[in-house]
Amino acid sequence: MPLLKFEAVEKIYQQGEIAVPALRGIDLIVEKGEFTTVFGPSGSGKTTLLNIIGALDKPTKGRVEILDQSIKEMDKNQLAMLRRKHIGFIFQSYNLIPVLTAYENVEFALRIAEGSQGPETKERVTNILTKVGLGEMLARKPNQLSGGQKQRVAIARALVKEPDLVLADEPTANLDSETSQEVLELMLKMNQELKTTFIFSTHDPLVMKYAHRLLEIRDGMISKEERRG
Amino acid sequence: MYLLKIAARNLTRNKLRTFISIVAVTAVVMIVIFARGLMVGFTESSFGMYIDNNFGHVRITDSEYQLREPLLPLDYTVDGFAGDGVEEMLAELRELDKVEHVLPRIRFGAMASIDDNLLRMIGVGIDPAAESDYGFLAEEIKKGRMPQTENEILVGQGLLADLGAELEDRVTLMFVDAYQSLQGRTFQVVGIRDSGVPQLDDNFFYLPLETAQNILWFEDEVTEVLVFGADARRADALQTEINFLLAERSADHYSTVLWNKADPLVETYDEVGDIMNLVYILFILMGTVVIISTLTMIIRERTSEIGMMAALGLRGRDIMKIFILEGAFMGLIGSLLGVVGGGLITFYYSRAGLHVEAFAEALGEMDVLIEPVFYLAFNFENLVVSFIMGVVIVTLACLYPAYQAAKLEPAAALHYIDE
Repeated sequence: MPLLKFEAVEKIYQQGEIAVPALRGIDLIVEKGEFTTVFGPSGSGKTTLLNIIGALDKPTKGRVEILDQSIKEMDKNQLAMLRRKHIGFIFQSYNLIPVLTAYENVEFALRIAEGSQGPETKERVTNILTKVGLGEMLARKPNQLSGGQKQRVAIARALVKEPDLVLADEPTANLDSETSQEVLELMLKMNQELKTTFIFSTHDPLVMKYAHRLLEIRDGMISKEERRG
Repeated sequence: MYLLKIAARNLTRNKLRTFISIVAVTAVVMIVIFARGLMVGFTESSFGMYIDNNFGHVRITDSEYQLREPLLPLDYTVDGFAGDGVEEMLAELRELDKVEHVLPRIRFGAMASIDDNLLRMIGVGIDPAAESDYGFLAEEIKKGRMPQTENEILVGQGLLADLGAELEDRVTLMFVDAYQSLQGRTFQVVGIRDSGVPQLDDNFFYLPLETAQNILWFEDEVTEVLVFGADARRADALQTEINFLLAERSADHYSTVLWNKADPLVETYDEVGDIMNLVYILFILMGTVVIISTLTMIIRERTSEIGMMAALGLRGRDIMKIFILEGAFMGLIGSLLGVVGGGLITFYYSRAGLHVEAFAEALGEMDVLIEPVFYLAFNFENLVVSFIMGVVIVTLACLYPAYQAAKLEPAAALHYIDE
């Protein structure tokens, strides 16, 4: 069973009376454990594709299955439950909650995913933060962390619930190249250790260097695909 | 619980904005507490005066007397259940379960000739012993004492000045007796009443009931019987009990009237009190405008954060909860501070009193009984009700902006750029 299956997916945005097609007939299958990068120029449809993959949006036409569930028939709450259990997100601007510490930001995601606090919550949160190299910075708030550290917290937040899929939208856009490399190494390590599927949307050649599969999007269609050993 | 924690911590994100919102709620809750204390103090003071001076909790008169009351007629009296004397009727009234006190009175018109002017006044025959035990009169004697024996009177200080007399002086007053004969009688002033209300102090004098009966040619009869229960607000049960007794004794020529139905002004106060509750709510709603605009700003600023929370799988109703809780915290803290501030101010004026001499004088000219210094009502109920109103209304006011946050599309919210 593939993790993700797109069949003739189209997305059209209505701007007044004008229909703007963002995706035009995408067919795509992503298997578990892939480390895939989607790239392409601005306005090519990368973000729209990631939104649909992340169950944040629905296609206008075509069929999308995530973990064998068609998202088109799901209501808002069902989509929220799907994201909660199976999908992690990493954002370009980290989007950490500034009033929570690194530990609490990660704990928050776990609490959303698994409801009330279990006995192992503390251990899981501490472990994942230690894995991303922030074991000594649990009590720091986002404004006390560097850009790279914030992105590490965001990675820990995405991974703590052990999702099937992690979507990373321009995860290195605000980082210097050295920090970007560290962050990517970390995600690759997690991909290998946890068999978590990563899908990136990026312009960054460094990210593309790490990817096992490259998908180029142009004008709302997959124009090129490359697999690496 | 976690949402509660986030909502509470969010209050520290923009401290100035949170402070202003809390101050707005504090201010309106303080004003509401003060206004309620003022309104209740004013009405209770005014009601008290009407109850003590005019109506008791329930007043019994002859039905015809009630219709002609402005003329102070002496033809329609309370003279017992079947004309067999009021004393027996008073005794039976005192036996009723809900009756605490019974004050028989005779009210009649009188006058005095001072230089070339005719000075009009109202005489009230009272039972000195009963009125000393219960009611306001004994407390308001500024000098002297209650009239006890024949020819002794207690006079309002304004009236005494108009008569050009002083304590222990003798004054001659004229009046019309029950047979419509003009009579004159000289009384000795044994007490001066200072109620602080010009309308009372300038117009009334008091004499023993027995004297009034003698000079007016009344037998065992009075013009009115004021009956008091334990609680003015439950006087309707008292009235029912009295009406039952009157019906049982076939005394259907008497009418009973509740203190709050006896005078249109008192009725109006009562209705105004109800309307004021709406005004208080509207007032707090005005204060919530600050909270609503704060939350609207907050939601705009945190749009991409809302998108992130939705992406993590937080449902719309949970996102709503965060913002409602954030607003509710502001309402809670503001209301709490408002209760403390408003409570302290109201407590101060409940002890020191609010001086409204000019206002009282203006109202006095319109026949409204109001004390020149009245005391705000300080009570726990006012604080609790205002606190609850503050918290509940502010929280309800947060529903709309919170709903706006909850219905944001996650994808659009995530990529929202504040312009």
